[in-house]
Amino acid sequence: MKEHAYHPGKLWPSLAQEQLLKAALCDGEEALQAFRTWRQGVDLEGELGYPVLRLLPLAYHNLQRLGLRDPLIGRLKGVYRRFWCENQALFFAMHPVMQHLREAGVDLLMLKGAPLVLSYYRNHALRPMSDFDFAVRMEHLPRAVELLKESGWTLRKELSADGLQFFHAALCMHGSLQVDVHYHFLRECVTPTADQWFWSDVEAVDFQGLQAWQLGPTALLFHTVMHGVRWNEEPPIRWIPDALMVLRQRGGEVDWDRLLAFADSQRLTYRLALGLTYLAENFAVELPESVHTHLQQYRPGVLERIANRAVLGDVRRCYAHPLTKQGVLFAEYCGLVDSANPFRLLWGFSHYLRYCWELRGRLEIFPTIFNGLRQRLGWR
Amino acid sequence: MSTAQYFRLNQPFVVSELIDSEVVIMNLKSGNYYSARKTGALVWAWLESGLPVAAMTSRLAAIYAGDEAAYASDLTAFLDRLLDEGLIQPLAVAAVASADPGDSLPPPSAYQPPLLEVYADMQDLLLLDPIHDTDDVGWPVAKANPVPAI
Repeated sequence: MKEHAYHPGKLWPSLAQEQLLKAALCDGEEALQAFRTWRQGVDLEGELGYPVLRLLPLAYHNLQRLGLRDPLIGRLKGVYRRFWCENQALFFAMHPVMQHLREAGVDLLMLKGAPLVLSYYRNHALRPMSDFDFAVRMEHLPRAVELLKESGWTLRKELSADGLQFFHAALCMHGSLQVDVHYHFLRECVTPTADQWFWSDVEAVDFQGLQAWQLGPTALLFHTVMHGVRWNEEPPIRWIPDALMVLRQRGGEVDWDRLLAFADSQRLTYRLALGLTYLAENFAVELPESVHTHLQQYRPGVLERIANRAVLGDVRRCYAHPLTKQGVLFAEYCGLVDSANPFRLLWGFSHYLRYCWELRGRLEIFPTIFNGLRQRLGWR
Repeated sequence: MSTAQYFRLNQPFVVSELIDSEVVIMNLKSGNYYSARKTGALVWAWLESGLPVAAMTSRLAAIYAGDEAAYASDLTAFLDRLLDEGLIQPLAVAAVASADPGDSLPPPSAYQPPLLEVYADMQDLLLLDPIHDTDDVGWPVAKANPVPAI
């Protein structure tokens, strides 16, 4: 797909990052050559950036396995050790929190890093984490938040009806720890139907003696790709090894029909196609022929195309002007809405605007626009 | 001085990882972290596998063909240090032996008394830039002033 060439280092890995990914994920001479190329092209004394840094343990692990002899290997080992320590400390700190919630009967479904560390990488160093994510069932959310607050956690933003409708997680802080409590699984999937799809594909996982849940391979693959394939100031390259881990270890268990049907229903097939074809083209992932055909033939509808402009493109410039900024909000809303009916779309968008502008009611929308214009035009 | 014959790791508060023939150990309760290399790494692997102290001494004597009493003395000093740091606990009876008898780590070619390098605060490690503040063998530059090894 030609889109893989757009936004290197923002939406897709830059050439240097791609070399490091190959050093971390490929085998034999391909990995060793990629490492040598990466080393030559990167300023090791400069700022590597966190996304690259967190890939180094995996590169170290793979290159050690391949017997690389290089003066840099000691420093890579230092990074490996550092992230091993960080994740051990994070898991240790999270255990009593998880235990407290579990004992109160809250079902916990670990998301993102933790289940990948425990069930796929099986090594605390290889998948660095900066925070902890878990999902709770919507009916358990008030209790979960109450328990966290009792334990000294604070919410970055209090729960609200709007937040439950338009956002996907409660961001909780305690000292240097951050936990994202997901009541929806993705920011694009905020309907009960989508929640139900994820909750219906879960499996048990042992978190240091506690019984928790993790997504099954189909839902996990979808979640990983969707979370990764989006434009970001910091290149979201972490999803690539994560998705490869799922595909290499349990790719045979992925229910592709279920995956594609859900992606279609959520109008996320185009992004799924971008992610999967990137893996196929760069990391020799073999997709079933029917999947490949489905993705190739897929044509996104209007709402999906509008939503993708905000998710896949660089919209920073749009935030500079009030009018174009509202265009981004509309594009975001198109990714959330479940109906293409124009009346319902505009009706719902007025609610979304009220939520984004933090207004008490929609009656305040026009006065807010008027005040904005007055200030901009210098009216008294 | 401990006279116990059996020890176990102080889990769940102690975790360790073998990284390129060096064992990195963390005491999650105290926030201290440790490094054991060469013979120290070997003895740690034996502790993990539940090997009794007498068997460790015999193994050292068999591998390095030296004075068993000297090995026993070095071993006791090392185990005392691990006890002081809260990394192991004495057991009255033998633990269930691990499937891995600690043979996966090849012994160093030359004997050196087992050493435990102690780094007093994990936060020191975590605050460092993990690639730029790291020396060529992978330890943070800040290791210039660790607590002296035994």
